[in-house]
Amino acid sequence: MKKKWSKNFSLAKLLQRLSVATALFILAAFVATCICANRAYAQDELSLQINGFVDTYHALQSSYPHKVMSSRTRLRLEMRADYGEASLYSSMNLAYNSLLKDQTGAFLREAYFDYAGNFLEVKAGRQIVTWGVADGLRITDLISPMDYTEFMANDYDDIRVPVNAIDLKIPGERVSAEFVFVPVPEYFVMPSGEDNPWTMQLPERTRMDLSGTPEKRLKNSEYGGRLRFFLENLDFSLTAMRTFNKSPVTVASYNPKTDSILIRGVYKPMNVIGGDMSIPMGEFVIRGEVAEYFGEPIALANSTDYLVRNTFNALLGIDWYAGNNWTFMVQYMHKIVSDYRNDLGIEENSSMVTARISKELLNNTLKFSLYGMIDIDNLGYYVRSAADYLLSDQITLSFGADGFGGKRGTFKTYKKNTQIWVKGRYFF
Amino acid sequence: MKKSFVATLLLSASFLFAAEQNARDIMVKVKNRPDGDTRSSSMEMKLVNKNGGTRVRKITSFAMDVGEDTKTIMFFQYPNDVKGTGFLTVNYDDVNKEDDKWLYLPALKKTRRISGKSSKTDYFMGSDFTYDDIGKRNVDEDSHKLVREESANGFDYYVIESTPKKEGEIFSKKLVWIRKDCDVVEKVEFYDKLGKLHRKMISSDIKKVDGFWTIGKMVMENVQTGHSTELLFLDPKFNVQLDSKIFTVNKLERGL
Repeated sequence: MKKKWSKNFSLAKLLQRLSVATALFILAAFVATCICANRAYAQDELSLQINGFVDTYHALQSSYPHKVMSSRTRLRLEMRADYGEASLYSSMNLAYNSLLKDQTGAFLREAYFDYAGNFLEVKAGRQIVTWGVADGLRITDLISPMDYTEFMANDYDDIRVPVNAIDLKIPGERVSAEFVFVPVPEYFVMPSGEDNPWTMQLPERTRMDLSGTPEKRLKNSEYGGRLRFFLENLDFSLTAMRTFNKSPVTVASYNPKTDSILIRGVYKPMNVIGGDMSIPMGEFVIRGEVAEYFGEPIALANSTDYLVRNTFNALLGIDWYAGNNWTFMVQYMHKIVSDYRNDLGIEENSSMVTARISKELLNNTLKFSLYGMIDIDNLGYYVRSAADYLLSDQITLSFGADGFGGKRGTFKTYKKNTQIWVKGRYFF
Repeated sequence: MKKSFVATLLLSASFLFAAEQNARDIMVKVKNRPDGDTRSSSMEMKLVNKNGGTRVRKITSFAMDVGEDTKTIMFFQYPNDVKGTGFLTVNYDDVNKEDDKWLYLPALKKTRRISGKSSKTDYFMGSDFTYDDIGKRNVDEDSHKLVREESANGFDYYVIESTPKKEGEIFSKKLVWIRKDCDVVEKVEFYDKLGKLHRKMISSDIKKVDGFWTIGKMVMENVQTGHSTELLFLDPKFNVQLDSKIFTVNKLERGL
């Protein structure tokens, strides 16, 4: 009886905690709805838009045994209803994946309510939050994590994981302030399952468990704010947030009874202070981001445990708009671990370089692009080359190749996943 | 004899200067032709390749004059692969100041600060118009010369030759036909660096809307590739009530 009562009590507490987050959601949506109703009634009418696309993507391993790396087709539906300054937006995927059965079905991506008042804007619901100015790298862009089900072989907009959040913004001409609250943070999705060619191969009698994400309690919520400035020759923003290491740190433990190894994911809260800037200079734009992560967990080299350290993360990028539809982008990212110990699993200073070149031809109907990422410490690389051809206003055909390699690290592990691919997309 | 030669030379030089000054004044008049403090319109671009294949682009744009400078925000409506893309520009009248430009890419949900210099000479959305052709090019970026005055189709025209002062432009010179009665550019011929005719632009459907002279249609043809672009200005409005908050990155990201 006592046990049952205690269980009920915990449940009540949990519900109470959850209800705080839910109440916040409802309150924000209710306030915004009331405000917009007043305005909308006066002068506006309802409009509804439905758009989307159908795409199909197929990839083949370039080396023997030329396995099919991916084969998927999906319908993306995007719906938007506007009423005055308020709108409802949703996007969903209806997908068929012939390799990964758990990727077949209907998946809601975004669904949010949005209201734009003169002094306050509210966006509440499932949404993708993108901060910072980096291209494909994460320094301050930490809220929406990445879906690495197919590692980096997916389009960038598909890689971002939406979060259930309330985003409040105070808009301004030269300055704007933004606050984001995520009651239950989302974490990286890693490739898993034997049918997925991107799943990391584990030694025998080894199991990986990344399910240990923090409890869904208010104390484990994520929140942050940023101030953005848009000036004549300079854009910059200041960011502060409380978040988690969304990409798990993995720690292994040996169980002598079962003679097996369990690798589990560790997620820890961390505070982040940082900012970004963009400066146009003639044909160039200089971009930069910096952030100090307070309390980032880092695995030991032997993977038996982890330590918490402050890290300094910085990125410098140069975009060159060379004219004649040529674009060049280069980025350098650097990480410094404070209070460094030699038994840590990463170097005290680690760095990454990315480069992107693109050229458009035939009145922008044909685009060639090359994207490369170099893991300097592990001497690893990832290269994606692509050609996109606009067959008509509705149809785009693309083909390309992804190459992996190097001496150590993730990119080397994926060397066998070097692939060629083809994609077709029809917009409606 | 020597004196009269010097006098002739000075006179010619002063005529040349006056002609140049006169041509510049005409171009300033064209640029400053009244068009209200704010404007809005929908644009439809039809891109036609030499085989007759067509593509269509639809854009909604708003503009506001702030002193001598102009702020413009454009939202791409069609085709759907670029729908939601937004482009914000602050076009400075000061020739020594580069424009401020931001591009919002909905697929990445990100705004990029882009170079204010280079994109001016790039073609706009695969069309035959450059960003410069669509925006307001500063008069003093070119030297101007009144070549002749002529009459055709019942109208009188100034024909002005404009030569870029800086290197790196996509044209070596352009010939501009300006209608005297309304200061509207009716025809432009762009010549490439080898001096060959490269592109030809013709404006039509020139009429008064809300008391302002406006162009209803522009056709730009690249005579070297056979590609052409027809640009229709639909529903132009002048002196519309626009909030200055429309011309912000925040609005760019929110869309229409």
